[in-house]
Amino acid sequence: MSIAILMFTIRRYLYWRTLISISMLILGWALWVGALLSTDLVVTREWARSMLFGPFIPMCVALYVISPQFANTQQRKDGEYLSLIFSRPLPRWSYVLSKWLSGVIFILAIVIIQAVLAFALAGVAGRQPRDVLDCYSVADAILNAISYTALIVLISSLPSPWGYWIFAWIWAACVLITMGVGTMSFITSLSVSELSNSVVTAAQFLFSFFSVGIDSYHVFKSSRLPLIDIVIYVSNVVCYLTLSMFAMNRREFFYAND
Amino acid sequence: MSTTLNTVTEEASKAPAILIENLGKSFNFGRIKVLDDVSLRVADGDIFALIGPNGAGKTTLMGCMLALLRPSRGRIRIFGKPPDHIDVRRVTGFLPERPSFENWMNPREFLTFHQMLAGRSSDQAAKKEIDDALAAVELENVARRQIAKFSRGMLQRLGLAQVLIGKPKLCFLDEPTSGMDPPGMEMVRNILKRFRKDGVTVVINSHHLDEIERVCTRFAFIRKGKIETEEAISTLNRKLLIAKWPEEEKPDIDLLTRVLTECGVTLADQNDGYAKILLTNRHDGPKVIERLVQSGIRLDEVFFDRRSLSELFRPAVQQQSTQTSAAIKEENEQ
Amino acid sequence: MLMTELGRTNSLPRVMLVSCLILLLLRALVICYGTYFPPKRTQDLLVWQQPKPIEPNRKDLLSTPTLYYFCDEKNLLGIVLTNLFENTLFNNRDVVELIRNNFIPVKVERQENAPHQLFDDLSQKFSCEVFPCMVVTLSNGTKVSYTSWQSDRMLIAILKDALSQCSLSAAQEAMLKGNFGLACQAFAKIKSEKSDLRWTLSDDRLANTIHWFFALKHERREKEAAAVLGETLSVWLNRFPNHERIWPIPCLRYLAGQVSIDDVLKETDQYGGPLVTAHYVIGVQSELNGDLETARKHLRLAVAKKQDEDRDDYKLARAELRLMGEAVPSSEGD
Repeated sequence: MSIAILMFTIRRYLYWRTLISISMLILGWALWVGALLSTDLVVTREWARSMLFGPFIPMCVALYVISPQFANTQQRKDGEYLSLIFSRPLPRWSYVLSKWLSGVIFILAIVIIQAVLAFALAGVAGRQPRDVLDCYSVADAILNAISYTALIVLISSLPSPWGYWIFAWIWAACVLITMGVGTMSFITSLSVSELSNSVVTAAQFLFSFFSVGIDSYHVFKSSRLPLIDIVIYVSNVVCYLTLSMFAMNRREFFYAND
Repeated sequence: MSTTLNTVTEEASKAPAILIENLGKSFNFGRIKVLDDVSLRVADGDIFALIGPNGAGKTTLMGCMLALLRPSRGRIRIFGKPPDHIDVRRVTGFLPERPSFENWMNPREFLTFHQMLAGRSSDQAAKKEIDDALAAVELENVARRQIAKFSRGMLQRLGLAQVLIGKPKLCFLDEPTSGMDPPGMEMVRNILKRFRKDGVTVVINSHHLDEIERVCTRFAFIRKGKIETEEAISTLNRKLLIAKWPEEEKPDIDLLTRVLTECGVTLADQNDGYAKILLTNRHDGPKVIERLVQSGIRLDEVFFDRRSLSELFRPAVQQQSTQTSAAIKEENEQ
Repeated sequence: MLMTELGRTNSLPRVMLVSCLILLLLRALVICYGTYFPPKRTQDLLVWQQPKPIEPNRKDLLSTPTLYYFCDEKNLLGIVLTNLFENTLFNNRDVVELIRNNFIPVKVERQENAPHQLFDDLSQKFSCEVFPCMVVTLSNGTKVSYTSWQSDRMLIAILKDALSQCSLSAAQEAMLKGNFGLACQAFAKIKSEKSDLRWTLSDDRLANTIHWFFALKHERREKEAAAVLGETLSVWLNRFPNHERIWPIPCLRYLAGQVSIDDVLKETDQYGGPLVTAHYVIGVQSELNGDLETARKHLRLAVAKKQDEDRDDYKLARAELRLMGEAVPSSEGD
């Protein structure tokens, strides 16, 4: 972990342009969520809660703030000069880890500010914060920030064409697996057999790589510990970060050789 | 003569700061070959210049030495270790060709950032190091100004200050005088002289051949990804052989060219009274003279010319540049 | 390709690599285990009842609502989806507790090579197209809520809202069928589930106050009716003193005797209040006051426009006309 990268990245996020954009996002989002939180329907409030503490904010902020930090800045007007940074005694894995952690901290700060604003707005309309905010919401905010930032770090670490290919691959895999399982299920001769179990296992294994977040409420309230959810979540975070480090190690950073 | 020999012997005995063996680098899955079988040895304390025309592979070679590019084949050792080794990075300074730093910082913050990256603590000594670096590049008066407002030359100066952070033992400077005014160039010269005095090994990539000649100890001429010449600056002035003939006995130019080609040397220039012969090795001189005489060419006077690096390599650089421009033009027309 | 050597800046930390591989292996094992040794189905946690044909004439509308769980296991995809659905939702202790305490759980299955007439009938009646899904109904089969794939937390929210909606649906059903005693019970139940403030401040609740008022009047519970009306008006107008003309406050004020029929009809034009509501309110109030002529006239006007068919007040006006012994042409909503 590099303190220099962590410290200066968080300072970079506090740059006025970033702050203005983020503030507008926070305010708009908080106003909307606040309005939803003040309604009478449990479903609407639950939806507002999931929006507030779900993956949307981590994804948007991470894409906006973290991704450009990984670009080879010879092609950019401002930002980091990666070749210069990597000429220093800084392991690239440490750079990835520091960027990820700085993103998590920044996103959590944003979620906290938004939550405070949204609940203040909901409070004005007569709704109690405890109707929506609980330990599961806080846990979800932290867990989503951790996993979605790791995913964005992975995508950003890939050289740009590869990033797009990964997305294309995800969609292709989803479509193919769904179609494959769907088609096979209509073959009447194929009943619930060993073959079907293999297909289900393979599909679950593949799909599990795209299951980024975790629902803490589901985990804690389950009548039996959902080990599978926990293993997939932890494994995905570690997997995304390891792949990011690997991708960064393989990348060349010298005068637009991206 | 004895002084030169001593210098060469001394150089050979030094442990190499950089050792490159059979280095190859290609892009686009091997379709574009940029470096081809490059071998190089840079002694500790050398101020080593990489010269050559555009697209010759100088920058790529520097990228490989910095481990920012991965060689396709071959081996690089810096102080006996791989170039991406953390111990190597600790003693390395790098100035990129086109600096585009963190624009939102001011120079002091930028240097503090690099000081932290270099693993130095933020104590009084560290603050003094930053002050010294800013003073060395004459940026102390703008230490709190945002980098975004800096001119090209000021950015270059800041880049140089950044190189000084961490007290490097090995510096890679890519076009250090680019965009600088004459006082700035003088400043770079002084910094290089200081490096030389402190025994810092420096690899410079530059087109300012006159500057290189003033401060460098050795150079390598690269063309089409290969090192054509690699030697000490001190031996340069022994490479251009001037052969004068009597006015009434001008030799047949075809014969002259053929003989020189057989000897493995180049006819750099000729007129009615003399020929300039570019030797590959200064020890080839006697052999070339002997072959010219044997082939019936009468010579009045033969001597080594004390010419500059730019005069020696400008024709080669210009020729390559013209070819490159023509190729680009042709590509654009297509 | 994959370097884990210590001290290199381009290496991958071994701890990350090893953790990643171990976790991937663990993931594969857990998934395999879950597939080949599936956990016990939800029957252990929830006792699902077998489906029975619906009895539309049941009168106990405030009794425990029914939760129909539709699962289609006629093919492999269906089995996989059903497993996933049940593991996600019915393993949650809160979900199970909520269903056990507040609903009659009924599982409607379709399996390969098994008769599924009842499954087809019920899914068609409740317009279920995506399986698995859940439908909440009153005891007489009136559909209250429908949901398919959800997170367990969202399902709880949906079921809680469905429970509130059940009382309201029961009240509306009772009003339509002229069972005003049951309607009064249902409205009282809704109010007891909410704080006074929220009961009064919601727009829907203002409309409900009107219906509750009429139900109480039909039951000759004049004092209670006046209290319900007075409480709503005072709470609303205390909070929003300038909202006297905001719809449907003029209707409530008319029922309280504060404004005339003409005033109410005027407000429909000025503030966009629906005319059907105004005529319905005037018609029923006139009927309850014994002015049957005026009642018939306004109730006829309330059901005059076909485009109002989906409005509750349109349906209620038709029901009132029927109660008065008037001939009303049948409608889709009946």
